[in-house]
Amino acid sequence: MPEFPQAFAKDLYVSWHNKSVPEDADIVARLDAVRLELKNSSLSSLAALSQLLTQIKVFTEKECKVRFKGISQGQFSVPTAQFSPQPNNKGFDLLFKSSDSILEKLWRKNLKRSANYASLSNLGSEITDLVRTSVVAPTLGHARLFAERLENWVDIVDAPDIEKHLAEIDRVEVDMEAKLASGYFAYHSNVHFKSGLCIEVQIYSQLSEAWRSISHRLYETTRLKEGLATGAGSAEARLVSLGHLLHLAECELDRLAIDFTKP
Amino acid sequence: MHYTTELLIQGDKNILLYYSAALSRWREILAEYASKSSEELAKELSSQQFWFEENCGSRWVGQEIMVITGITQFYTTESGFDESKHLALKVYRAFMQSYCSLEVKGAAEDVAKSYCLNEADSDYA
Repeated sequence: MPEFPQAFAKDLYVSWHNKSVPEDADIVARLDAVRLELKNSSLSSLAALSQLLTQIKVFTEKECKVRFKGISQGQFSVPTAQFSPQPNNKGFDLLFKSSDSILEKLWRKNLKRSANYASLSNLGSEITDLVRTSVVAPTLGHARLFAERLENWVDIVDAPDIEKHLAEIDRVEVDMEAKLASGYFAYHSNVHFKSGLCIEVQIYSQLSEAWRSISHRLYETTRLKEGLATGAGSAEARLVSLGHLLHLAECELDRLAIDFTKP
Repeated sequence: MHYTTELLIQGDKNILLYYSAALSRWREILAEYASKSSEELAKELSSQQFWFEENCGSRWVGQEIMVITGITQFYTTESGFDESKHLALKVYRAFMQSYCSLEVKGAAEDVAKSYCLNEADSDYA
């Protein structure tokens, strides 16, 4: 039996997984097949999710306009065209966690286990972001409002519309505490469908999006490899500091917006 | 606007007929809904999508023409949206409130962005 790799190396982990979870033999090919099946089977759920997020966007933008009284205005960016299976839509594939990322997550999940491994048989319950998307809000305050409204979606969308257009959605779980995820703060929600599919929706601010876009590659490198310089002044340390600074700036922005809109 | 551009470059003269038909259809729709709320227009648009798909080329190009014509019919390069900005916003907002396909909503966002039609400028009062 191969030893469990203490640092992630794809080939070593695949070898361990194939041997230690025999029913998952040839895990790489099987993961690709799972991912393809997920793409084909989730089209109508993605369409329903897009409709739901658009309805929440319209509702929340109206509310923000009243609540913030013209201060820190802006629009929510919700995924619409990205969900389209049109052949020229390159963003569609990005909705689905890559096979390499799934392998890395399986490695992290199994790192401290000696039995009941995370595997293909329990993939959906072990990894809830196999399909994931995001909503970008003008500020963190807007993101919070969106998350609150998403949590209460059944009270916002008309019942006949739910029955006609959103019937596939079983429930929406929203964590109302903004959590640090991959270096930026975001509200996390899981949209569960009656089919058993779960789609993760992260809601974060434009500032976080900017940070995320520049940091993604570096963060992946930092997380996947050992031995990188992480001391004071290193790019990785500065990146983390910047993420915290931006979060502090967002919190102050929200406090100022509240102060300026007090009667 | 990719489908329209593609047909224009291919020299497909039908594209002119599609846009002309779409504009006529929009005038009929707005004759009834211009003075009504965006919510009411949204309900109408959800069912109108199929007309555009059937009469303006095909599914994808028809959806695109529905959106482009709907929002930009009020715009000129000389005067912008001028006095009709509220109507353009109403059409954009109705698209987003509707249950038209996600491709239609995506196109509506793209067109609104391209024409600097910002919901934040609107007046919900």
